[in-house]
Amino acid sequence: MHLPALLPTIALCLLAASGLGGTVEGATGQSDADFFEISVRPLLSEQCYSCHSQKSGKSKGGLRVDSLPTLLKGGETGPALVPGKPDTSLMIKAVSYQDADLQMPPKKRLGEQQVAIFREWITRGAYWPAGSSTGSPLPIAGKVISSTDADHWAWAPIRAGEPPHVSSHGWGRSPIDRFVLAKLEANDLHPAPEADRRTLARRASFAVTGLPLSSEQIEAFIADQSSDAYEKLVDSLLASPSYGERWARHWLDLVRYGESRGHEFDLTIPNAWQYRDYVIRALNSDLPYNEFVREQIAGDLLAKPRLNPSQGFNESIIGTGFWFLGEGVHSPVDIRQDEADRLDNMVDVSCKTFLGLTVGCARCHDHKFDPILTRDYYALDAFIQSSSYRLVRFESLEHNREVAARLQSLRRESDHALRLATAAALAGGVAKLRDYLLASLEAPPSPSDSQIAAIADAHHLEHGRLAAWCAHLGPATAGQHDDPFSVLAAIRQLPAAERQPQSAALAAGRAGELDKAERDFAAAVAACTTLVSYADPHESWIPDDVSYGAGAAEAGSWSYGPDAAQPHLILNERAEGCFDPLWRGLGLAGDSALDVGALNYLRAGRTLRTRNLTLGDSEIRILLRGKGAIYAAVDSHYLINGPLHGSLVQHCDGKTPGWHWIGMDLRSYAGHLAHFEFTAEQDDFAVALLLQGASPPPPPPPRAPLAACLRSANSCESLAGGLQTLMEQALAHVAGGQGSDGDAGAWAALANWLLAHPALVGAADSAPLHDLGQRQAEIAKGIQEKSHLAMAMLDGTGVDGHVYIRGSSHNLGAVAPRRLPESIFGADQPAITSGSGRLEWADRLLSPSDPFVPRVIVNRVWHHLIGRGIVASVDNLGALGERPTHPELLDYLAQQFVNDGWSIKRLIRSILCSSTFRMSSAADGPQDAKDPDNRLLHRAFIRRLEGEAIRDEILGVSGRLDAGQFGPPVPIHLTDSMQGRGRPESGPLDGNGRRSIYLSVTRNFLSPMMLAFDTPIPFNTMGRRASSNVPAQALALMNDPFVIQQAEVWAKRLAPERDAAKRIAVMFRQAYARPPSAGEVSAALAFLGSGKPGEAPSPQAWTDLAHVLFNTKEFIFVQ
Amino acid sequence: MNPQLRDIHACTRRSLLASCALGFGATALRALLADVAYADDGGPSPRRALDHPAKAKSVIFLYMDGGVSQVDSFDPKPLLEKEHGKPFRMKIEPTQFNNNGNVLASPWSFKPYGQSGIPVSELFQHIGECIDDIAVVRSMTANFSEHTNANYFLHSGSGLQGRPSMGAWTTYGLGSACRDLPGFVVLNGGLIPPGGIDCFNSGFLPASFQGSLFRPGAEAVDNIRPHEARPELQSRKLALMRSLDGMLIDRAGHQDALESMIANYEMAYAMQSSVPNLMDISGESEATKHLYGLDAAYPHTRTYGMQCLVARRLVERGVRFIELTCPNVGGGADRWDQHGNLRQGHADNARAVDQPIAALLKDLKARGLLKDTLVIWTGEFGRTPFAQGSDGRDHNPFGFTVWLAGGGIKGGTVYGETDEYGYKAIDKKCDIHDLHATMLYLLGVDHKRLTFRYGGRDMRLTDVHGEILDGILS
Repeated sequence: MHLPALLPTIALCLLAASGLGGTVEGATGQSDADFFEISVRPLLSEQCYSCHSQKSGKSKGGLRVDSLPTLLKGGETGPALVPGKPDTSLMIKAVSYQDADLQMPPKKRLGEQQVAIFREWITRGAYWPAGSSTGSPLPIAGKVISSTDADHWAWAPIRAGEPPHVSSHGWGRSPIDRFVLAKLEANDLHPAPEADRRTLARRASFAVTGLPLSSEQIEAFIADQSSDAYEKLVDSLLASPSYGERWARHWLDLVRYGESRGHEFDLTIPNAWQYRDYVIRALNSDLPYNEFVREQIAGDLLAKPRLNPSQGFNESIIGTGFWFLGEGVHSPVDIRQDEADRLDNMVDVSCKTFLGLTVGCARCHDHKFDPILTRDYYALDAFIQSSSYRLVRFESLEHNREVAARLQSLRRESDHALRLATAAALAGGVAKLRDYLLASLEAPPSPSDSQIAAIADAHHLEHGRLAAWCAHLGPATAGQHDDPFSVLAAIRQLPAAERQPQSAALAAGRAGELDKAERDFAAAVAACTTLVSYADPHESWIPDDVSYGAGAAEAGSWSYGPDAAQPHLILNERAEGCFDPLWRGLGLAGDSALDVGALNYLRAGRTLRTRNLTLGDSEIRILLRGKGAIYAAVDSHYLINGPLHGSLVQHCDGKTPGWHWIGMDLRSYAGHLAHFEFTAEQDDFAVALLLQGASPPPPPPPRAPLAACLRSANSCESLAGGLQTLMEQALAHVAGGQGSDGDAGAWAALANWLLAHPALVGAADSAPLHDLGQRQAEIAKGIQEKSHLAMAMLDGTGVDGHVYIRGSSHNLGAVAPRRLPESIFGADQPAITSGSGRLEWADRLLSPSDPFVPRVIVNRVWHHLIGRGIVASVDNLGALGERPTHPELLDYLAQQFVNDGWSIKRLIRSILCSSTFRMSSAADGPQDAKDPDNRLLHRAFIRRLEGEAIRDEILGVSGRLDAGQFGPPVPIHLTDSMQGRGRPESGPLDGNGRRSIYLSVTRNFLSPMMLAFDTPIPFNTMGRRASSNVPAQALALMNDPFVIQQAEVWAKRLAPERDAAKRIAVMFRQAYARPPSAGEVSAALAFLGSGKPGEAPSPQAWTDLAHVLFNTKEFIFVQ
Repeated sequence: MNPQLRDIHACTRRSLLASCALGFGATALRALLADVAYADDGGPSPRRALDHPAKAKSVIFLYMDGGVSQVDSFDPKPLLEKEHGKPFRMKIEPTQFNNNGNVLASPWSFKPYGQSGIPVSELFQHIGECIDDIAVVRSMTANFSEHTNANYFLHSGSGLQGRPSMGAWTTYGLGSACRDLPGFVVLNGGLIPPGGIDCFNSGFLPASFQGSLFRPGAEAVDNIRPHEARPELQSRKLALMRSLDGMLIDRAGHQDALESMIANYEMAYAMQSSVPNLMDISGESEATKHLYGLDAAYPHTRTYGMQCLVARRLVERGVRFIELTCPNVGGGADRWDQHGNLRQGHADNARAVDQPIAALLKDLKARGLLKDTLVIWTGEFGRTPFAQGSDGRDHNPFGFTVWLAGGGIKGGTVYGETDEYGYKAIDKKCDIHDLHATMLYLLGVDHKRLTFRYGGRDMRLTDVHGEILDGILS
């Protein structure tokens, strides 16, 4: 046993990793930077930060020890340290408990070696890395990758040599066989003879499709005497849709596929089955494996996503659902630790699945045995932290993207004409504004029709419009301070004699109010920290679909309505992220599920997310309008079910008109990484700003640039004239285009007033506007409103990870920029400059220099077909994994695989058609003694079928199998013993005859029969299932009602065959792909026999026989 | 044992041993060898498999689902009474509901029991009578505040799903001393812990080590009841099956996998009678049934009493690890998890388990079994000394009480201390890893040497932690 020998090594490594034992001696050879990161910073963080750091919010005694300047400045007792002089440094006094009044840490004295670390650090000059207090990029610290590390076979490039020469020329069909035979010959072994054709056909069928051959298939194969009969059988198996179902199950074991989150309530994972169906389709279409991998990691980011050939939807993006198939805690008290655990699982699963490497160890310390560093681990974390979870409308995504592009180009093309036309349509009315205003002043407060007519006629004005003005300039408008004419309305309420004298004062007073409101607003906003501003041209733009347009709407740009006849047009008064109501109809196709808990509202297609940001310690203030929801994704948590994190979601009811502030108290998450997601819940929804500040800013003041105009007014006439001029300027801005100056939004507010009051302005008809409405409506007809949803990634903005010192999410260490493990992908990988970098991840992973991906997958395929991988530990090719039995063959297969376009089907075919695969599995005493574990493949393995295959086989043989593919899972049948929170509805005993891959995988209610037969509990990559032997397996086959039911179904199906011997033969053919022997027939007849010759056996006897056959080892094993 | 079957057993062991070379830890290997010896001579497992002499052969784990309040059971805090209704003066850590009220005095009074005079609350009067056999650990802590994580942590030493349960580790490390029953049995009283049956799983250990769930009542195990109306009908079928299997063996030759599976049918066949036999308590005396509360007025006392009695019967049969889950007392008293309605909920739950547990300790002792049986009583965490609402307590992983009794335990001991409110452990602070390490120690296993290689690491129940709680050892 080599295990116990390793234990002391582990203990040593742990000591070393703890930074406490023996590192001082070892440290003398380290650079200052290394010494600091390995020994000093962890010590400070663990022992001191809780009372003396920015993060803890505490600086007891006025001291903070999380940066050099604060240490040098010191606290109430003076500077904490003097570089180079440990004996005069207070810090050393404190930690060595020299002074009764100054003892740190107060509760527990540090060990001598810990004190020695501080002492040495100060002696060496108290090195602190440049940059923030949390650190700059980690220097090469801890384990340095040495040449011996890279000596491990798996790090070596693929070396595909010629197949070796062998002396026995009679055996072997393919190069594969020469590799196998060479080893056998070298060990004085010889390959087993070829299995008989029936055994071989059954073996191939289960290997490829996981189902038994029908009697017709097997007999046709036996009858086919052509030399390539077997190859044809293999081809037909690979062409069967069942192939994808069989091999998808293998893949789902790798990605810990589940349909519920486990834990307390076993909450549903919405639409997980879409991923399962995606894998089946990908395999059946023989998607090149490198493309498949690319889709898992970055399918949402491909420039040209793969489209479903029959339905045209985006297949690639569904691949990224793989990240989110893991468990989930609905209400973790320590939300950051929960994220660390989730990320750990994602990183671990992805590295095991694609690279066959375990990086999980590196979470707490540099990997002991493989050249994987802690910062490698956290660098991978950061890729995922830079992305986020969503449910994507994958069916409509590409289609609607095209619709949106057409819409955008229509709007762009018509913009200029529309501006000119709108300005022109309003110009006539605006030119008469002064006249109407002054005429209104002549009218009494409530003028009669005749009074209006008289005044209008006197000034050559329209009766109706003047009547409208008189009505508008009433007391209501006087109090409505955001109406540009409110001052004039106020003046009109005064007795005629007082109007002129008071007009200037009223106008000036109003101007003062406006200025103050503007100033107060600006000051309040400035007092807050701006986290997101859609006025900033550099602000990240991350909509989850097309409904927010191609970018933030600039101030002064058009905001479009959905109405065909009259696309209710206004101009944007602020830069905003604005939901385009043309997409109001986006909804779900049946069978689609929403997220559970507090996020159970329609988000897909209606959501705009922000970049990643770090929350501060005051409240969040969001400036928005309309009805919508805000979700603060703190630490990427998305399973909000229960009160603890309820504050992360807020719904705005839309009852407050216009722009207003929404507050969110997220102070308990200060220091956490987060992003926000805004979701439109009705047509009108927009967001402008996201701030963080102690007090809420006042409501935004009216934007119109009225103050100057009001201040210069010294009479009613000049006021009316000034307002007309102002409106003329606004029209000029409309005509001139958006964003021409900083006040575009303010001018837009005036123009919007005009657009909103056609009766007062007398807007002329606008042909371009009408035309736009028509064409917009035409395009909108093409919108695909219904779509299924699938889990997918949404790319966020890049964040670099922090090393968590010793794996603790409470101890932030140095920054770990995103990159792939250094030992494989090099130390000088280009920095990732935008987005999550997952596309770069995929590119690097699949680069020709990476030997892992092809080796890992061909080894997995070999494992499934032959029974044991060339590297038996299929998920670990690292130093603790097993050594390859046939390394040259592995490299040969890997190289062929890449050369052959990464085709899994062709790889399977080449292995299946080899003589190696075709060997008999019969025991061979002398050879078995020489090669007891059959490591050299002197014969085939005999193997127990997996639980799914046994169940599918029973259904196939009984005739109950429903060949239908895809769709929502069939709930599994629950036994009475399956109780507990989140217990789902029990499903039909026979699962509606569907293949096992279509039965639900609810984590807390897994099928007892599947569990008994080692179907893995989905928590981590499981490329090699256990093949255990427990009595529960026997009990299930002996007594499970499903098995007995199917025995009866089978017996009934065969009832028309009256001849008992013939019927027995049919049963044997169906169950074992072979006819019975004479001895078997007589044993069966004796079992059936009632004892009286000529009397037919009872139906029960036939059912019993069927049941016995299900229980025979030949039925559940493949030879 | 008939000679043929013994051969099959031997083959099975051989096949297991063959696969051991790939990944079994040394201890397991030795245990399996020990088991071969057992199969050969019919005697109990020899101790040469152990790292050191064992103090206990079996474990009965009394899991108190939801988390019992330490300050209402075994850790009295007079200060709570003094400050009842006043604001809590210590810093309050985040809790599950964050709906924290003022200090809440225990509604129950305490009195000293036994020669040791250890105080026990009136909730556990029966257990109080056994206090001189019990070591009370008042300074236990857990790493998680949520039930599920805390449950996984308690059961497997990791807050994540999918790791092997302590019962699986135990049977993996020691093998089974019972021929016709599984080595790790969970007696399900009605409540499956949050986290589901994964709390009893074998994780990455071979599936043979997973806990087998037994329900109280006639059909204790899934599919245990033969489908056939009469035993001879099943025997006929199995006879044909054996004959067909035999023909296969003739063709395929000596194949470990096939032979193991054939042997399994024999174990399964045996369980069809051994399990009903186990559950048939008609041979127990009326005094015993009365002791366990099988005649109690409260139905849940009867349920748990039956579980405790069956636990003793399992110990007698040599089963290694027996876990009891709580009965569902209903009436809004959701396990021991009283976020509200503490008075009613804790009283009901205690009423269900107090008498049966005391009976189990007394009965084991009377039969001379307690010295070889380690009994552990704990929830996944404790509860807050301050109120949630007016009559509830939230989760508290920072300091709570566990007790142990039986093999190798120094009875009448108090170990560790919480602060004056009973909120956080302050003296001899320990955690679940320490509990696991101590448990394995008493079973004769060094927790650092019981390993299984998975995912590139030699995994342990105690991860890289675990200190033996010396102070409670006899």
